Amino acid sequence: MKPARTSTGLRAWLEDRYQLEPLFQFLSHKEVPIGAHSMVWYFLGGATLFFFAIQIATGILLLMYYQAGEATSYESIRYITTKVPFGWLIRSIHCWSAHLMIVSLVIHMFSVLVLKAYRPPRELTWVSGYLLFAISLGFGFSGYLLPWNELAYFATVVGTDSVKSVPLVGEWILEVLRGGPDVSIATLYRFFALHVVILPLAAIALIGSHLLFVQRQGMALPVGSTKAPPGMPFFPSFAVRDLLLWLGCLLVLLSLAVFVPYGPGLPGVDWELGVKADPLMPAYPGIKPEWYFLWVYQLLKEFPPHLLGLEGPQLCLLLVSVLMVFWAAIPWLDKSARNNRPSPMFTDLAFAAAYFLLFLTLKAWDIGAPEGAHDEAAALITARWSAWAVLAVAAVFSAFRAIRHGHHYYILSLAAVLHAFGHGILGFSYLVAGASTAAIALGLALAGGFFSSTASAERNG
Amino acid sequence: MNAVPRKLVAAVAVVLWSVLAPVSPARADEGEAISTVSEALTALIASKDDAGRPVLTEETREQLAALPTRVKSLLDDAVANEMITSAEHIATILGAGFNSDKLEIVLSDNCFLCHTDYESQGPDQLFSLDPAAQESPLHLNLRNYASDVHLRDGISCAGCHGGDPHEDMGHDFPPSWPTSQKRRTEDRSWIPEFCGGCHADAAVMQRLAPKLPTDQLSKFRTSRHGLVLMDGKDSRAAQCLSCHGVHGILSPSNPLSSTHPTNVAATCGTCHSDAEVMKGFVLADGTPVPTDQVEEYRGSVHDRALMERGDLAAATCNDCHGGHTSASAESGVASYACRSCHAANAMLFDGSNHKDAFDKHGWSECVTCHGNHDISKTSDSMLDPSKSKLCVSCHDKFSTPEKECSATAEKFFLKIASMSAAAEQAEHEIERLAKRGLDVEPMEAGLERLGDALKRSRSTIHAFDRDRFAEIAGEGDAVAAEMAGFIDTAREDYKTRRLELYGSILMIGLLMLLIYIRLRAWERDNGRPGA
Amino acid sequence: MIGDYTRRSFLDGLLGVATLGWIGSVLYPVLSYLKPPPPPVRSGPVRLSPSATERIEREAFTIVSAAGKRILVFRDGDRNLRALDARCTHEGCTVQYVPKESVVWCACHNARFDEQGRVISGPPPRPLGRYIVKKDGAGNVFVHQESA
Repeated sequence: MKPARTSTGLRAWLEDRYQLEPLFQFLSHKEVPIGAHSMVWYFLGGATLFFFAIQIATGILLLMYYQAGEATSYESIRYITTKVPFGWLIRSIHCWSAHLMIVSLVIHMFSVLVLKAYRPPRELTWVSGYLLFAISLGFGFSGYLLPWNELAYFATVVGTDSVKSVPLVGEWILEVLRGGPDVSIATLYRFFALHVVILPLAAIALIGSHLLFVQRQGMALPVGSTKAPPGMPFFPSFAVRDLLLWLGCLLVLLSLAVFVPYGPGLPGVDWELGVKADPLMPAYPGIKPEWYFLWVYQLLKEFPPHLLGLEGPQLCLLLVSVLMVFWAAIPWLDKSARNNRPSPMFTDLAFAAAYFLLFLTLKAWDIGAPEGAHDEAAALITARWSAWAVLAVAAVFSAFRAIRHGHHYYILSLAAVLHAFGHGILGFSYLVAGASTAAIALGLALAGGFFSSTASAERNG
Repeated sequence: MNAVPRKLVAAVAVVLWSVLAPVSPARADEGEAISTVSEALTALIASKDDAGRPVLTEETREQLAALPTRVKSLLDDAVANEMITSAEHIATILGAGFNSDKLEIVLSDNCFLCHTDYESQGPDQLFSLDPAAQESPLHLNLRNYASDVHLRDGISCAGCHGGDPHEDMGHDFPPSWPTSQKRRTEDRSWIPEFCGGCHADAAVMQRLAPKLPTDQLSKFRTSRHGLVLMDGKDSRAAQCLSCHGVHGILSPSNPLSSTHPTNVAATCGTCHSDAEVMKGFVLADGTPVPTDQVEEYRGSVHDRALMERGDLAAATCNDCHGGHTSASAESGVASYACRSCHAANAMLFDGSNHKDAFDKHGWSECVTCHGNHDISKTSDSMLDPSKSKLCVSCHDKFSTPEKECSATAEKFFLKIASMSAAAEQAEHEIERLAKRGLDVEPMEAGLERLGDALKRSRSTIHAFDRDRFAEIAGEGDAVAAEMAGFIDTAREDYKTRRLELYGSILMIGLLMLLIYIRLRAWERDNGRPGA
Repeated sequence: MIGDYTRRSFLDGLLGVATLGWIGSVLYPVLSYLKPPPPPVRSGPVRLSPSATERIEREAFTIVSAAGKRILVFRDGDRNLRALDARCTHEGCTVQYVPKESVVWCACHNARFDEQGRVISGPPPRPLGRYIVKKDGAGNVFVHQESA
């Protein structure tokens, strides 16, 4: 460690006015623990932040030409992509970066879950991250409509329609969201305001606090350790590595934008402009929301019209809300981790959640089904393919966990896999398979609970 | 969890509604309208069945309340005259789906009033709402009348069957009405003249439907159908009702009508596809009339234009064979029919040296090469000397097989094939370029022009003249060249994009490498480990 | 020591150059993007080429391509200039003007339109679009690309 240099020049000038020395001191002493777990996980938040910055920059550029309006939205986007120099590049980067931001955000969230980085005193970091995730989904949903093309129009009709099953206030939310009873140009104006003013303000405020929390508290230590392991200096070692990663991300973005300008063409990951929206056109089969909403979309489909005295969509949204609240409350619910003890159940929960989401998403993607088929038979084929895929992924992950990390708690992920197996391969309905595997998992958890809780404390990390 | 607030909201809504509702204009209007109805009708409306339930459904009563005052007073009159004596009777009349104008006709027409009353009519003389009634000749479906073109003009039962619909009962049939059972069911030859009584009378039609022609009867007399029916007294021949229907006749512009273009083939087919009906009829050359025309027509280029694209101008049976003038298509007739739409091709053919040869042999101009009922989309391969025997089949037999002719056909074929390939390739290329995010707008416009030139080149073939063909095809070549230019520019654009990308990748890669080296140097100097 | 020093400063120099290059490679597309492309020609009227103008005098009509559309320009029976969409509303064939009959004719399925583009006979479902056409003192003919 070198002693603090005597301040000269600009630094002194600033120091005289703003007394920044403590900040510089803090940054020069800040360290990031190394060797605790793979360093990769520490960079995901930074990557997400980079994609967000790209969104802001390209978003501002798009705003220079975009004109919201019935006769201009579609046309101006078309103009940007065909006539404005590098307009295609800006739009393509904006779209790719949006999707990659969600991808890195999801991986970031799962890594925090597996590493138990939400332990006290970092509960609010988790919650602010959780809210940022919700805001990102809002960005995606509102931005999707802005080109005012057919696909976006119908996806928005379907997407906003589901809120009407919220009891009591559903209709009200629906009208506020749409700016009228139906999706119209009024909806586009609202989504535009949401996308370029409201959500960015909220996101920047939340990112500010999220970063402040991380800077104040530093990176989380591995579960069980109380002493900080040797670290690398935040500045320049960590920060410059972050910078290298960002440059790498930029490289990937540019290549994708040039070679795959309209996305890989999977349902929900495709932004070819297509045909202008026409509210009087009939809908066509195969309308899908963006990929990160596909699991809710599919779950809504799995519910029958009426169940347990409620409407199917209502029950489904109730279930989703419960899961969401549960997810936000994980730092308080995970008692073992709160006490800095290994918490294999929540580790397994992360994997179970991943399998659950993967199964629904694959089903919604119609994998394995013949081209253009949307009937019952195609749904069965898709369910079988999706189940095999989930089984394969789970097998690989579980083997990795068992061999590399010595994990031994698999009840929840087993339940998720059994669910996929029961529905996709044995042919039970989604809900029946879900309910029975939930019961089995509960039984197993109760039976094995006391003996695994003592055993696991010794090995798992 | 929401049961309590929900109930609360419901209760508040009910209270609000009961306070606000009486002063709302809709409610006031309804109250006033009901007050004009007579007591007798009010009693009928309110009547209940044996089980104590109201006879009229809630829906019917709402429908009743919404009727205009003039219709209500007609209903009142009918009740006062005891034409309507039961609530069931009201339900039957309202259930047919008449709008208020038609209800006005129905309610002032005693034919309808009596023949819809279960109490006074036997099942044979009854209009009913029973769906089965549609099939029975004696037992008529009231709903059909709601859309009948004649009822719209105020012509109801008495218009054909005679009598005075304002009299209580009994009526005389008009003089031309068949008196014998035979004429009613077996000898149908009286029908055209009966319909013609109005439809051929300019004075009547001027008053009722001035846009309609009045020459159907005179045309029909000269048609194949007319000759067989009226001169030959063979009632298998089609008359008015065979195509237009009887009760519940719809205008040909109504898509449900049997004479709407999309239904014409099926309507003609009811007889012409039935070997039993067509037995014994022969063509001019003595061969039996075939019964596979409709089957052949299905899937033809005209049928697909009509049924799949909804182009109501596309040819169906009557466009070539005539409707009221129906005649079998002698070969000459067929090409005149083709000419009415495919005029340019016909004119080109007229100027060609084929014209005289075809005339000499008495061949049909179009049908000889293109066929008739099963005419399919014209294919360039018709010209291909290696695949098609179309030209050779006549040239070998009737003309010395001239090398010149084959060479011309081949020239046409090769040129059109190359243009068509160019268009196809351009389309494919445009799709690829669009996928790569390039601006394809000018190319799409060019493709359309190329398609147009191709279409005109194909059409020019009918002149069988190399120079004329070359002129039109030359335009296509020019457009194709222009397109190729656009495509090259776009490809260049894409190449530039990639080059710029590689440049950026190199730049970023270099920067990353240098930063990394610099970082490691700092870390070495300061004795700090990296990851 | 010296060698090390110069190596380090060379590295720093290279780093500076690469950074500047990178900034340039970001700024280049952004600055090009910000400069709006020239307004499309579609806003103004299109002047017919002398050969097209001459063809109108000789054959009474010509077909010009403007903003990706085919436009029929012709002299009607009263010697007024008119411009119509040359794309037949039936199947998209190019129409032509028949001076003898003062009608616009589509050869594909024998459709006829009057000089205002209204359907007289044949299968087209809609009339042809109309455009404003003007002739200046010097004999130049301009087709305005807005529908009349």
